[in-house]
This record gives sequence, structure tokens and C-alpha cells, in this order.
Amino acid sequence: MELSAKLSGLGCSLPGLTGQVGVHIEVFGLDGLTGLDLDDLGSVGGHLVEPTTLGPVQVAVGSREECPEPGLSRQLSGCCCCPELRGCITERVRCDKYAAERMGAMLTTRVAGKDFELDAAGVERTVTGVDPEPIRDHYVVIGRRRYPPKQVLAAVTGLDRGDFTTHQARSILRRLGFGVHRRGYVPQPRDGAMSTWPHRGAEAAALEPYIGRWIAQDGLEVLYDADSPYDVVRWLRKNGLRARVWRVPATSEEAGSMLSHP
Amino acid sequence: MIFPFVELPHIPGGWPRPVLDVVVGNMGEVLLPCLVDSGAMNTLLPIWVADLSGIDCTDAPAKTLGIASSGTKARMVPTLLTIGEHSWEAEVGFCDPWPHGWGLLGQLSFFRYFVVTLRAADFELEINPVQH
Repeated sequence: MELSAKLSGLGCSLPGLTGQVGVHIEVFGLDGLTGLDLDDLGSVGGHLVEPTTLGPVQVAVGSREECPEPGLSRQLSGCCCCPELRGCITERVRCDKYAAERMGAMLTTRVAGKDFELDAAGVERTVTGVDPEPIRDHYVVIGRRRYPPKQVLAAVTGLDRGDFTTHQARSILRRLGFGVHRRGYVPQPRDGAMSTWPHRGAEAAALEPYIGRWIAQDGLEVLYDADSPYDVVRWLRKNGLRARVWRVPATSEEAGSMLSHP
Repeated sequence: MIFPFVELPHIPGGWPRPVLDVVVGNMGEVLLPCLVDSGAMNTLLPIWVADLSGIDCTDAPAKTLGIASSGTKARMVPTLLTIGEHSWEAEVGFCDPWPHGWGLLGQLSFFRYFVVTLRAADFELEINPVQH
């Protein structure tokens, strides 16, 4: 079956999108349930994101280029589809173009026997200014920052963290449109020319959302970002962590290469 | 000790750089990336590193230095530096202002203490302490 037919079967109607330069496809969930495989995705430059047996199966198709908002794992315009729901659910796509829909999309969910109405904007407001705790396994990206999913859900619901599981928190936050990942997730490099670089462009891709920011970096992961090195070091000390602390260069001068552009 | 270059994001000049993570003084929780710069005489670090590591620059001699396209004032202080398991003490200039997101490792306080091999084609750097 052709990719377009498979996508159509999942509720995605994407005439003219697949196969174009700049079109980006992400698959969340089991290949077996979506009917998609890596060959399908490779044919149009797509890739599998966080293969998991947990959470809803989702396919998102669109163009990254139209959504410059930094720090989001799903900077897509276009369709986001779940087989159990069928149809285009654009409000699930976190993108400036659809900000109005996203801000207005309420999710009704039941956690620990209580009903909650949540929306992405409300979650963002709640965690703004809240220091993320260290990530153990899973994390959710809100703004540019990575938070433990349970920390976020506890903050927005007021529930005790013992009242729900990480899986529940991940599922709810994902349904609100946030990128939910596991530690070790590495974003895709933007440029095939980086394939000879030390980390094949993965470090560059990981740093991209933090250009001009002070960060704490551990391996290829950015643990924390802030306006100043003082804030980054305070966070490291508070959490007993050790990391590379620096400001990601925004200009050639900051990179120390005034005279040496490659 | 062999270290891969650090990749930079997509900016002008965003090419992998020979950078080493240095622990300054007793501030073990911070790995400060420093560009290995054979064109620099001194090892220069931003002043915030002195502030946070408890290094007192108040009475330290000051040098006016050219850095990038502007100038800076460096307070020169003998400082313990550590890379990996190897530590040495050298004079470091703590600078304000400082245009870079990282420090610079220069000749007087870094290169004279190490044999440095750059393998730019492989994006890696090898350093071995000089045996005295």
C-alpha cells in the first residue's frame, strides 16, 4: 500500500503534501498499528519518533519550515491524526500558525477520580518560572525547557504525585500537544553535511533551540537553560548535578571565528 | 586523553571547535568549555567563573587585552585548573567584559603544560600532560 493510502486510512488527507521538499512526517506509536514502516517514511524524508508501546498512536505530517517556533519537538503545520479518532486534528499540532486553535483546545481528563479541564496555554502559564527538576527517564518539553511529566501534571492539577503514574502524565501532556520524550532522545540533524561531525550533527541539533542562551549540558542533552550563568549554576547546585555550563554562540564573534567562516 | 570537537548549531561560523571542559578551582559541578586557541597567549575566562568559584580578583593585577573586535580587562590570578584527572596551577585572566560563551586556553597557562595534537579531519583533539 502506498504511503498516501496508509495515511488516508489513518484519517490524514494530505493531497500535495507528501513527497515535497520540506515535508516532515513523525510517527508516534507502533508501526504495526499505524501500518507505516521506516521505508515509507524514508521515501519522503520522515522519521520515527520515540517508538513506544505506550500512549496513543499518532501520525503528524506537515512542513517544519512553516513553523519556526524554537524548542518544540513537533514544529509542524498540517495534520495530526489518531486512528481511534480519525480526521485532522490540527489543534494538536503545536505551531504558531495554529496558536488560536491550540490555545482554545480544552482537554477533559480524569485523574485519580477527579475531572480536570486542561489546555496547553494553561499548562505553559503554570510552569513558567518553575524550575524543572532533574530528569530521570521521561520528560516533556514546555517552551524550551524539559520537565519531568509528573512534576508538570502535579503542578497543573494540584494532585499529589503519588496519585497518578508517569504514563498518565505523559499521555495527557502529549494529548495537549507537548513533545514527550525519553532521556537519550536526540533530535534529527538539519543537514546531511553534518554526517561527518563528531556526533553526526546531533549535538548541533540539540543546541539549536538554545542559541544565545546559557545552558547546562550533559552529553548531548541540555538539562537547563537560563538568562545568566549564575542561574544555571544555582540550579546545578540545588539539584546536586554536574554539567558543562556555557552560552551557546549566536554569532560568529561569540564562536570565536571572526576570520574563519567555513 | 582524546576529546571530540564540540558541535555548534547552525549559525555563521557554526563549525565544530576544539573545546575542552575545564574545572576551575574547586567548582567541580561546573565544566567550563574552553576553546583551545594556540593564537592566545593567556588563558582567559569570564569573570562570572571567578565570582561563582570564590576566586577573589579584588587585588589581582589587571591587564588590558584585545579580544575579538574589542577590549577587555583581565584580572590575573593563579588558579587551579583540572581537565579529566589532571590538575595544574597556572595564571588565569578573569575578564570583564567577555564576548564568548566559553573560555580560551592559551600558550602560557595551557600549551606549555600539555602536548596537544589536533586531528581536525577527524574532529578530535588529544592532550597529554608534559612530563617534567
